[in-house]
Amino acid sequence: MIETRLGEFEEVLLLLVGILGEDDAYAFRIAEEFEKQTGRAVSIGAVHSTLDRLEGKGFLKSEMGKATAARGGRRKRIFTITAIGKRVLKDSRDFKVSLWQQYPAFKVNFV
Amino acid sequence: MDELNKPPVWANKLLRAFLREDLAEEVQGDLEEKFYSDLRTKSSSRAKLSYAFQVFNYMRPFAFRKRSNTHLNQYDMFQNYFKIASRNLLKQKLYSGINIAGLTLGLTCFMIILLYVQHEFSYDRFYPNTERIYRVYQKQAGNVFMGTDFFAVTPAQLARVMMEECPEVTHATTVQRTSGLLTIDGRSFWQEGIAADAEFFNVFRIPFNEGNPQTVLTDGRSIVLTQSLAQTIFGNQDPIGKAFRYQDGEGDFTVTGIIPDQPASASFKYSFVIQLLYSNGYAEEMKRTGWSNNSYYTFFELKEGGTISALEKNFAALLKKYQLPDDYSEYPFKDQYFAQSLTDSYFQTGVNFDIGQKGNLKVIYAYVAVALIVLLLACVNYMNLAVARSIKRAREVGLRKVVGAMRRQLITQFLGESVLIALFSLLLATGLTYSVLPYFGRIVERPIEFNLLANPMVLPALLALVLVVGLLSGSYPALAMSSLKPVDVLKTKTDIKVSGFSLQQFLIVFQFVASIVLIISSVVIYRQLDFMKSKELGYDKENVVTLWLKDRSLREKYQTLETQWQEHPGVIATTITSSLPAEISSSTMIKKNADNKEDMAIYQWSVGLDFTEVFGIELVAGRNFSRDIKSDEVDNFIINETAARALGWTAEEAIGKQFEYQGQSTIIGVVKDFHMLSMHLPIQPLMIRFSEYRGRFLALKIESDNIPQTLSHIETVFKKNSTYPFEYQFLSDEYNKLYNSELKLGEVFGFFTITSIVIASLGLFGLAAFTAGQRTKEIGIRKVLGASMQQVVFILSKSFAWRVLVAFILAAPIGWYTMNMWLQDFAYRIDMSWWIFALAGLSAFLMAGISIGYQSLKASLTNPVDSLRSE
Repeated sequence: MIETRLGEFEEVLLLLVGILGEDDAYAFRIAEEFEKQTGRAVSIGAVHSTLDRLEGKGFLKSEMGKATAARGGRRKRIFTITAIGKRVLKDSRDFKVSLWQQYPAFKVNFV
Repeated sequence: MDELNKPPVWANKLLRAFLREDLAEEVQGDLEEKFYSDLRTKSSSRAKLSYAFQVFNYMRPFAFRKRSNTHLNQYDMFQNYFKIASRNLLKQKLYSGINIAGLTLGLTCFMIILLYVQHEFSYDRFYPNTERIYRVYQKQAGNVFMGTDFFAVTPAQLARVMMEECPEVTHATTVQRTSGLLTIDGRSFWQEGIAADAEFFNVFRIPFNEGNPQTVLTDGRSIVLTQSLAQTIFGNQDPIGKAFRYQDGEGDFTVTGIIPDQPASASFKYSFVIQLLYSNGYAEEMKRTGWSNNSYYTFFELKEGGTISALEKNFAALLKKYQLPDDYSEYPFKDQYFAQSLTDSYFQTGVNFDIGQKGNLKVIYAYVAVALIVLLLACVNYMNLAVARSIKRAREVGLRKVVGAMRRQLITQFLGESVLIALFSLLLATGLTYSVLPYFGRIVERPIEFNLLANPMVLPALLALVLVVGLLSGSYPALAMSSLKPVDVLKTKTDIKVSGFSLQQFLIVFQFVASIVLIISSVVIYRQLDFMKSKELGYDKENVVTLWLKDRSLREKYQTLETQWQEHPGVIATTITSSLPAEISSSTMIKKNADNKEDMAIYQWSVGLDFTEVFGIELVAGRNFSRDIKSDEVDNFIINETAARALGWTAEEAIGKQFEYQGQSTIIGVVKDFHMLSMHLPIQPLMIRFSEYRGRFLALKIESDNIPQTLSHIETVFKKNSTYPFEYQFLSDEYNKLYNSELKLGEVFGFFTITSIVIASLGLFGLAAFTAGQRTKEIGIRKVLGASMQQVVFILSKSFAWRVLVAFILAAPIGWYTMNMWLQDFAYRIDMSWWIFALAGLSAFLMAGISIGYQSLKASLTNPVDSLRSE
């Protein structure tokens, strides 16, 4: 039995960090992107709290970015996926794909 | 940007209030970015609302300020405090020793007094209904006897009347003290007991070992014994139903019940309770009408919820109803009855003919005050030495602050240290108290138990005390030290001064004030005691043997005894008297003379022949009694000089004059005034009557050599004439008993004074050692420049001498005032002459001199090379 170790919200956030990349992967942008992609409202606090947890698990790391004039000179905390984070995402996908493949009605071939 | 388009200020403040410091920048940035992006699509108020919503949503555990962050380190810091504290204690053994010794002594004094007070307040609390037991006493306004007009005795009928007519009273009992010889099968036992009516055990609800408390005293011929008396008399036999004789009473008394022995906390103790009807006196008294004969104690049990004020109002009505108009018509006073709870009456002094042992609240307060002062002295020592040492530890404080110690932490550290030392001292003090307590108990004549658990309040109180002592003694050093500025402390090479020298001076002065006041008190107490012991009394208390006439039948045999005693050359003279001259405890009223019907209170003393010779009382006018003149035994009296003066005559004029006492009485002689009462009271008018059958004491003047042989002769003669046990007292011992409480006070004060001097000296010694240590370099330089040893000693001692002087100026009036108040209790007292104060001041100087002198001398003898060599 394989342990997924990731909740749905966590997995989505992890993926969003990967999608947004080095410039935009900070709490406010991630929350915005989440709303855009899922249509569900989420508070920055909730996102930040989850990012903090993921960092604690070692799936993410973070660094303060450069100061920008737009935020009154305040810096952003930019999150990036770690190697373990990537592997966990991949494991999670593989696990689900393997589940999908065992489900006859939806058997699809991934190219 | 205008005000409208900014995030709401309150929300921002809230955010800053809870948000972790390290998250502030990014979070505020994010939220602000969100706000401005919202502004593009939404109204300003919507954006603000959203901002607030986002702030609230940040209230998540991960984002909160971590208060426990500093706590993580706390354990290690405490370990460090411990280590530093113990290193400091071990490194400076002198200071630690002084501190701990001082605190131990102070705490010991305090614990002893605490246990003493606990004991004093434990009296008579063992009855299940203690708080409802009361006694009746009365005030006979104007009838001043032995310095007071309160009397503990009441009429015989009072108890019965109270039960019948006072709704507040459930039970009331009439009680008398009795002592006598219990005789069974030819064996006799002299015992002290209680004679009481059948209600006794309804008021004093004692659990019975055998017998029914309701019925044990219903029969007029019953007696109840305590367990140990029953054991002594009957061994293992069953005592119930056994009969014996009591005193010269007719017929047998039957044991109807056994009660446990009286606990140590009983204020009046007895080994048996006999029915009051054993003597005919009580039965006759009950038949009498009128309330004027007061010879019984009345105790009662108050109804639950009843009040004393209601009852006391009732008393007035009862007096009106039962007292006959002519009950006190002969006497110029009015009586008034009061009720008092049993536990309060233990502390009630100044009531004539009172029953049982008494505690003295004034004395208790004095002890508590002195114990507190001694404890305070020890605390002051700690503070002083801590301030002094703080100079050494200033660098530690500086460094701690540089490394990041907060002021609060430093305060905690120093307070913790002092509390720990206090706790350690408490442990030592507990041990010391345990070993000293029996001696103290002997001094104050109380069986004080070392039982810290007897009262659930004692242990917490002691711990609280340690906390207070620790905090008190540590407070100043803690506050002063923690306020040091690291820059000041660390930059200079020389030692800096910690602010607080003025306080230190104040504290030293305080210590000396306390010590000098205590010395003055002790000296005054000892002087007064000495004065009372050596004062010319007007009678000779030396070499007088007295026997209390337990065996009343000896009164008739007195002349036989006298003849047989006189056969021995060691016996100079014998007499029989109603009381001993040290304390004449009977008084009456006379009318001055036939035409002037004015009343006068006068003490009365019944004596046998030769009383002047036995007691060495001097006859200044007239003649002594004679057996040959018949009227001497009826209406001829001898008076003292004070009585002659009160009647308006000189001693010579008084001879042959008359006054009215149960008919016309003639004065045949006047004796020189002697101290017939304790020194608390002035000499009063006294009349002496020749009446051998009123005798309660036998007194013999004996030669001062070969006393043992003379005593054995006295005993042999006594044994020949009586079956009672032979017991005697020397008059001088009886005299000293009058001042028992003063003697105790003197000893306790002496004890405390010495302790406080030791503590203060210890502190001064430590402080002097410190000062000398501080000034080694200065002394070195002075010596190099040619200062002599004396000059150095002088320089070092000067400041201390000043403080002692200031302390003396403050202490002298305080000591004078308090001791003057104490002396007011004595009609005959010493003057507080200047030398007492001089002595106190001088001993303070001496004690300071010894404490400082050693250190100064040591400092002045140091070779300057040693002190100046290294920098």
